[in-house]
Amino acid sequence: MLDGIELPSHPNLLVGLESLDDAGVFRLTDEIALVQTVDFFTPIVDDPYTFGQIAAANALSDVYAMGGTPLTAMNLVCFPSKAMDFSILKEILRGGLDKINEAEVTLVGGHSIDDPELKYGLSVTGTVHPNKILGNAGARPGDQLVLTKPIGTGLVNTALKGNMASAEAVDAAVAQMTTLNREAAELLMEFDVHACTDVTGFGLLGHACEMLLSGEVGIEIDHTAVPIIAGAIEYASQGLIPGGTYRNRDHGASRVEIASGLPDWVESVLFDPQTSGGLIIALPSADAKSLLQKLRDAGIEKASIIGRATSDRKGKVVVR
Amino acid sequence: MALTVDARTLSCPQPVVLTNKAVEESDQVITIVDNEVAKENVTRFARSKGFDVTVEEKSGEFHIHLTRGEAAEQTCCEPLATTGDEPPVLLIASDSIGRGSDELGQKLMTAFVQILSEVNPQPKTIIFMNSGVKLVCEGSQVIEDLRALAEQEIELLACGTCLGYYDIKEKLAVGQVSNMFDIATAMMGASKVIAP
Repeated sequence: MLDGIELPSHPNLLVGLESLDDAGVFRLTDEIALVQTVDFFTPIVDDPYTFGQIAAANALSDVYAMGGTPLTAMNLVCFPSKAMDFSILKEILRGGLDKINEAEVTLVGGHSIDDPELKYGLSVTGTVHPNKILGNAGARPGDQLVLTKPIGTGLVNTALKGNMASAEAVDAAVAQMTTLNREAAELLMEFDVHACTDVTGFGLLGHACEMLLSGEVGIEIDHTAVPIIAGAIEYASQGLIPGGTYRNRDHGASRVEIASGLPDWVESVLFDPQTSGGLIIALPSADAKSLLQKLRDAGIEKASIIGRATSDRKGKVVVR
Repeated sequence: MALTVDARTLSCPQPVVLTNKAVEESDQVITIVDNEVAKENVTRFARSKGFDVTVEEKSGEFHIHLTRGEAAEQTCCEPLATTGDEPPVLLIASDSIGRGSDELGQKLMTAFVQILSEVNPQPKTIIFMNSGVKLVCEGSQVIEDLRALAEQEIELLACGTCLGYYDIKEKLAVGQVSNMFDIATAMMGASKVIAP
């Protein structure tokens, strides 16, 4: 999309547009770099308060995924004021603010415009130590990959839109989408993490592809080890698949190989676009088990080791 | 008489939702969509409900013809009716039969698998779990016997987690890697599950 536009460069721009990372990072001093990110979208659940919570958790996630600490946030609102009652907007903002407060981030303002289609999200600013930025692409052969949240929110949301989702599936998806990645981010700081990214719109496999950018590793994922939200597999088999999945699949086609003989749903679930997904963390295998134990002890029950970085098949994500 | 569902311009998952309603009322449905995503989703949905599907492309639109197959579910909400005459599902949850001596148990399991092709009824699916997965991997004494069963369209499902646990995933010689969802579905939907 940015073809033909000259990408900016600056000696203090540590992470910019070219690296497909989760947020932008700009050095201020030797110890402090600014982390900046923005994210907003249309409603995915019916309840306005919950929508606000999900959108806020989603926007904050990018800062955690860079190894940063979010500090301030601003609301972004598009609202059809003539068609919808303001009480709905108030509930959305209340949901967003409660999540912002939970993260101990300060809301400093926002901007709203009138729009026939409702959208909400945040712009978030935080800080990170310039030497401790967690990029997407630093995984080393032999690293194991830990995933902190189950996937399948795109499928559950699509089934929900068609009134074909079970209450259990929706509750499970909402619980995951409203959970901040804050705790997971704090726990991983204790380890020598080589790469980290959060799983959002490109799906597990799309974001795994981002981890290939250094050209130094291949990635292998064990489909039986990937935690999946209850119901998602069934919805994939029933064709309740969001359009984004097909875009993700087409985009990743040259780099992703799914082993033959795997069930049909593997492609649909592993390319399922996520909202406010978990973190994929690449770290030495000796530490992966300790990190997993710490995550589970902290109540992050679905955290799992889903695969590894390898030295063969560099530049490919292979799913077994 | 075929029911027609015009799902052009509708965003997902409406094409699937409307098709779902239509198949409750008719054994033949034609769903018309105007994009690839909807075509794939409706096709998957139809197959999951046991319908035969053919797709006709007409000037950028897709006409998806659904015909209820012989063994299809009647509605999306009723469980598949089981008559008791259906072939059983065989659950092999260990590489040996019985307790007492593992050596004897393994010999018994080998003999059981070898004799399966001569016994009626044949299972429709054989599930391998825990140490049972060793039977479908290199080094197993019964690979050829299992291959013969697979050629008769008997489904062989090997639990992926179990293969991973024994670290023999790459040694799978017959059957396919499966997962708890498909295994549980096969067991719960069976009229009979037999575990030797």
